[in-house]
Amino acid sequence: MTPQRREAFADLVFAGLVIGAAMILFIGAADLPPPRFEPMGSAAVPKILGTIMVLLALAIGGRAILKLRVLPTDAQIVQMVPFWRGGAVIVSLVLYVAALDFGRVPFVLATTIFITAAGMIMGKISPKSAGLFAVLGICVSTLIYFVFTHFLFIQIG
Amino acid sequence: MIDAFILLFQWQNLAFLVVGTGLGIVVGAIPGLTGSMLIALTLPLTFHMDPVSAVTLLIGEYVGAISGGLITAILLRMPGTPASIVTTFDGYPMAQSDRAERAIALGIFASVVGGVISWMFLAGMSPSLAKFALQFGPWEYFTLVMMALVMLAVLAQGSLLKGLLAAALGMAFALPGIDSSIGQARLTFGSSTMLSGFGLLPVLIGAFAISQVLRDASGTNSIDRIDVPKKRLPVYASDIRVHGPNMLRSSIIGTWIGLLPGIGANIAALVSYSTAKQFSKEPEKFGTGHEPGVVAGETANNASIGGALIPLITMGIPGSVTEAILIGALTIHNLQPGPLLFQNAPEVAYGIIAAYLVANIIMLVMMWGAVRWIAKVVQIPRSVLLSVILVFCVVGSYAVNSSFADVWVMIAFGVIGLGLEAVKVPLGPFVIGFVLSPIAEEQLRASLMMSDGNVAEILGRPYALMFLALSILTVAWPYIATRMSNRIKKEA
Repeated sequence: MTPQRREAFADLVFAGLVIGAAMILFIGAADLPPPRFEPMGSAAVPKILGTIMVLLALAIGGRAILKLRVLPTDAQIVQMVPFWRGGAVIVSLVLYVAALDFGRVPFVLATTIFITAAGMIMGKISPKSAGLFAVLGICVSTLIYFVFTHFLFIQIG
Repeated sequence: MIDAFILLFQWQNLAFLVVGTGLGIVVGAIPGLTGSMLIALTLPLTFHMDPVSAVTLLIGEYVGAISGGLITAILLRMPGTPASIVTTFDGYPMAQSDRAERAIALGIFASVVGGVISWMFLAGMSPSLAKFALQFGPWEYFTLVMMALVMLAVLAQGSLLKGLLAAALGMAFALPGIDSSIGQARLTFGSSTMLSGFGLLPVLIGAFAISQVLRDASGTNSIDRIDVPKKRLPVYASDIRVHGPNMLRSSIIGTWIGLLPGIGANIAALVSYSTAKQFSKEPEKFGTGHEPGVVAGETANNASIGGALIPLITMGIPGSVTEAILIGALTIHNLQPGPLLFQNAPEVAYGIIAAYLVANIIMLVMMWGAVRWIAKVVQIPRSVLLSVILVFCVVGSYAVNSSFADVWVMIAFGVIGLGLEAVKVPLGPFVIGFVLSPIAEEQLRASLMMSDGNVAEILGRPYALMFLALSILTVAWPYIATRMSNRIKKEA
C-alpha cells in the first residue's frame, strides 16, 4: 500500500469515528429536556456541534474515497514505524496509575518501579541501566513526595 | 506610584518577588504544572503575610509561570502553560533546525517587551481601556471567541477541514458535565464522575505532553537530540527594527485581549500570531520556524497579564482562573478589589502595578541567566527525561483535585492526541476548542436570552459584526488569495 492510500484509509476510518462520536452527542442530547427559561436549552449546542462534525467528517471521508479511487493500488511496501516502545510505555503508565489508584501502593515505591520500567523501555535494557533508573526513581519520587506533602499539602496516592 | 516602588524595593518584598518569579518560571517550564495551580497552592502561605508581600509573591509567580512555558514549548514542543501553545508552532521547528538559542532569546526578549508595554497601559490608561472593554456584551464575546477558533483552525498546519473538525471535536469534549446555565447534568450518561466533566489540565497534559512522550517513545520522532544553548543568547539591535512593529502590535493585541474576561493569554497569543501571519510578506513560513511567530506569541501572552490586571484592580473583574485566585488573595486580606482599592489601600493597588513591571525585569534576568541550566534538561537522555516527565504529568493531573479520575482522563486524552496526530489532525484547535467551548456557549445563550431568541440583533452590534466578518474573511481568505493569484498569473 502506498503512503497516500494509507493516509486516505486513515482519513476514512477517522471520519467514521467522528460520525460515531457525533451520534453519541445526538443520543445524549435526545435525553435532555426542551428549553424552559431561555431560548436555546442544553441540547442545542450538542446538536449543532454534532451536525458540524458529521458534515466535516463527510467532507473528509468523501475526499478520502475520491483519493482512493484515483490513487494507484500498486503493492509498494511501506516501512512501518515500530510502535512497541510507545505501546509498552502506555501499558506501564496504566499499570503505574492503577497501582496508585486501586492497589494503594506507596507513591515512592510505585514511582521508582515505574521510572525504572519506563526508562528501560525507552532506553537500554541492561542491569546497569536498571540500577541507574532505580536510583533516579528513588531520588525523583522522594523529592516530589517531600515537596507535595510538606509544602503543597497534597497527599499523593 | 513612586511610593509603591519604594515599598516594593524593601528587602522582604523584593525577596518574595524574586522567589515568586523563580518558582513561576520553573513551574511554568514543567508541562503539567501551571501558574494558576502554583498560585492556588501558595495562597494558604500568604495568610500570615502582609498584603503587599502577598501580592508581590503572587504577581511574581503569575509573570514567571507565563514566561517559563516558552522553554519547554521551544525545546520539547510541550507548552508548559496553555499560553505557550502558539510558541510551539515556530519555536519547536526553530529548535529542530539548530536555532534553539535564537528562539529562546527572542522569546524572552519579546516577553519582556510585551510585559513592559502592557505595564504602560496598566499604569497609564487602565480606567479608559477597561471602560472600552466593558462596552462588550455577550454577542461581542461570542463572536470574538468564534473568531479566535476559526483563526486557529485556519492557521493550523494542514487541511482547513481537519483544523475545523479538530476545533469542533475539542468543543464536543467540553460539553459533558453540569450545564451551568440550568444546573442540569448533560451527556454524563448516568456517571457521577462525569458530572464535573473533563478537567482542562488533564486534557491539556494528555493531549500535548503524554501524546508527545508516547510519540517520542515509539521512535516516530526523528529528533533525538536538540542542542542546548551553548553560546550567548543572540539578540541584536536590529531586532528592534525587524521585530519592533510586530512586538508593538502584539503587545496592544495582548493587552486588549487580556482586558476581556475569560479570553486569556492563550487566545491573545493566538490572535497575535494570526495577525502577524496576515501582515507578513511571507505567511507561508509561519509554522516552519519563522521568528515573527515566536515573537508574536510570546509578546502577546505576557502583555495579556497587564491587560488582565486592569479590570481586576479597577473593577474587580477576573479575566481567568488566575485572576480569580488573585481576587481571593485580596479578599482574605480584607481588601475589596475595585475602584475603592485605590482609595482604601493604595499601597496594594499601586503595589500590584509596580510588582508587575519589576517581575518582568526579574524574569528577564533570571531566564537569561538560567535558561541554559533549564535547557540542559534536553541534554539528559530522552529516556530519563521522558520517564520523569511522565511522573510529573501524573502528579500534576492528580494535584488539581487530588483525584485519580483526572489521571485516567489525562491518559485517555494522551491516546486521543496520539491518534489525532496520526491522522494529521492538529492538536492546537482541539485543545483551544475545548477551552473556549464553555465560554462560547455561555455567551451565545446569554445573547439569545437578552434578545429573546432574535439572532438578527447582532446586526445592531458593530463590534460583533466586525468579529463575524473577520471570521468569515479568515476562512475565505485562502480561497480568495488563490483565485486572485491565479487571475494575476493569467493576466500576466
